[in-house]
Formats: sequence, structure tokens, C-alpha cells
Amino acid sequence: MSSPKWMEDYVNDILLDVDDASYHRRAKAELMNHVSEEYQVLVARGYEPEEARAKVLERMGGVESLRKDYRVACLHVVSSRGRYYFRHVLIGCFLMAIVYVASFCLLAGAGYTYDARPGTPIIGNPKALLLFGCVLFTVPFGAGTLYFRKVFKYRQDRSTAITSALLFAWAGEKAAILGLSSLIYDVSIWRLPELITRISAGGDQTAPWFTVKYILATMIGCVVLGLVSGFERQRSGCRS
Amino acid sequence: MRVNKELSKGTHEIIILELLSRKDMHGYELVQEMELLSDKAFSMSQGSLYPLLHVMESKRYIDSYEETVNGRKRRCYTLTDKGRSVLAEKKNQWKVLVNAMERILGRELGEQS
Repeated sequence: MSSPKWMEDYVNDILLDVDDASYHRRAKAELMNHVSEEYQVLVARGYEPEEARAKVLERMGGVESLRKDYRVACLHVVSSRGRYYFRHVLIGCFLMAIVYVASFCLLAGAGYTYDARPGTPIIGNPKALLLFGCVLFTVPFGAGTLYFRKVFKYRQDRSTAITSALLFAWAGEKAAILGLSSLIYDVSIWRLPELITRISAGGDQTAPWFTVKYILATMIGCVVLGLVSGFERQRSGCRS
Repeated sequence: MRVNKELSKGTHEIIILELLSRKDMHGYELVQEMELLSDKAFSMSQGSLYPLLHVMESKRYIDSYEETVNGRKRRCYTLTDKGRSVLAEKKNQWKVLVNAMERILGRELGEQS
């Protein structure tokens, strides 16, 4: 039996802001079932069709507030999916890579050089090296944290999602440095121990970013950023 | 008498968890049970039940499955193990709250009854 047009219109109106097709289908089926069952019960109790319709609409609630409820519920449902998580981790990592390269270019533009003059050489200058390393970590990873915080806002495991995404990006950065070193030193990436030994010996552009200290500090930085941003979100969520 | 909307807002989740701990239900049945057991004190706008159920499902408190009754497809909701432990925790919090409110309003409530 097909549903009356007013039911279809009412339900479609409520789901106007729901842009995920599978959630839309599911919510529409449930709402249609509910509305039609309530309508049939009221008609069976002796209500005139028009009265029953008005009663159903009153009991269901206002379209505006329901539209908002469904939009928020859709965000919760969609962001809890694994596919959504992986897609946004990849997008976030790509954005971070762009910011990373941009930061590198800006530092170079500001006069920081590896070891050549004129400019501020970072090798043999601990302060400049620290500043360079801090900027290279905080700017892209800070941007990544903001992005992941926004897209994982509705996830129950927000802190874990942000932290794991940042650690994935961190591992990606290390892999990229390894790849770059492999090209610089002409040592295949598959000969990993030999490559790491060569990088550790220093003397080239990637050496400062592959020390045990830098690796550990950035890894801890990712965990701290992830936990803190997730925690802050939960606090503000409780307030609202 | 209907409870003030703001006051009852935080109660819907625990009521749904409690009802689903008794048996699996679909949305329409949940609304009816909620109204019946609370003598309509805890009724909510029926349309806003489903977004709440969907959010609870995304938090893994409840799960759902489809079944066909009288040729009509329906989505039934069931409580998960996580939902069961959340319910136990929420019940404990409610006990603390109710006891505290009774201590504060006890005399006044006694006078009214």
C-alpha cells in the first residue's frame, strides 16, 4: 500500500539536510513506518483522517527542530564508520604534507639554510636547529590536529581517533624522510639497517630529522596533541 | 503531569537503555512503552526518538536489525554489552541524584503528599 503524499512530504522535509544516502534511506523507512502506524492507530480509534493527520504531526514534532536532530544524528552515524575514518586520515595527511612543505619553504625563505652561507645555518647552531625542528613539527601537526578535531568531532572515541591519525601522519613523515635519504645516499629502502646507519652518520639534509631524540620527541608530541585536543572537545561537548 | 522538557532531556537515554534491557523493541513500541510506564510524564516528540537511537547505536550502546511483521519491514533495537554497562553506571548516578534530591526536598515533598 502506498503512503499518502502528506506523509512523504513531511518525512522528506525533515530529512532535507541529511546528505548521506544510506542514512537517508534508513531514517526515511523508520519515519514512514512510524508516521503511518500512528496514523492508522488514530483512525482506528475513530479520528477523522484530517484530525488524525494533525494529531500525528503534533506528536511527531516540529520540522525545524527534527531537521536539526537528524542532521546531527547523521554526522554521528557517518563519522563512526571506518570508511569515513580512513578517508579523513588520508585527506588530513595530504593536507599536513602540503603544510610541511610550505613550512620548509617559508623557513628557507626566512634565510635558514642547511650548512651553507649566507643565511642562518642550522647545523652547528643548536638554537636555529631547535627552532627549525619545532616549526617543522608544530605547524603541520598543529594544522593536522585542527583538521582531525573538526572531522572526528562526533566520534565517541575522539581522542583515540585523533591520536592514531596523527601517529599515522608521523609514521608517514618518517617513511618520507627514509625515502628521501634512500635517494640522497643511493641506498635501497629495502636495505633498512644500512640506510639508517648511513643517516645516523649525519652530514646531510635529512640527518637532523632522523635522530632518536627527534623521533621520540615528535612521537610524544603527537600523542599529547591527540589526547589534549580530544579531551578539550569532550569538555566543550558537555557544556553545550 | 508532563515533566518540564529541560528536566527530562537527560532521562531519555537511560529510559531507552532500561526498556531495551527488558526486550528488543522497535521505535514505535519504545515510544508507547515510555508513555505508558511513565504515565506520559516522560513523553518526547516522537520524531526525535530515532535520531537519539541512531546516536546511541553509533556509540555502540545499542544495535539494530530488520524484521518483517505483517508484511511490514521494521528495525528492532537491542541492547549491547556496552549499553548494559552504561545502563548500570547511569542507574548508579541516578540513585545518587535521587537520594540527594530527596534529602534536599524531602520535607517539602512530604508536606505536599
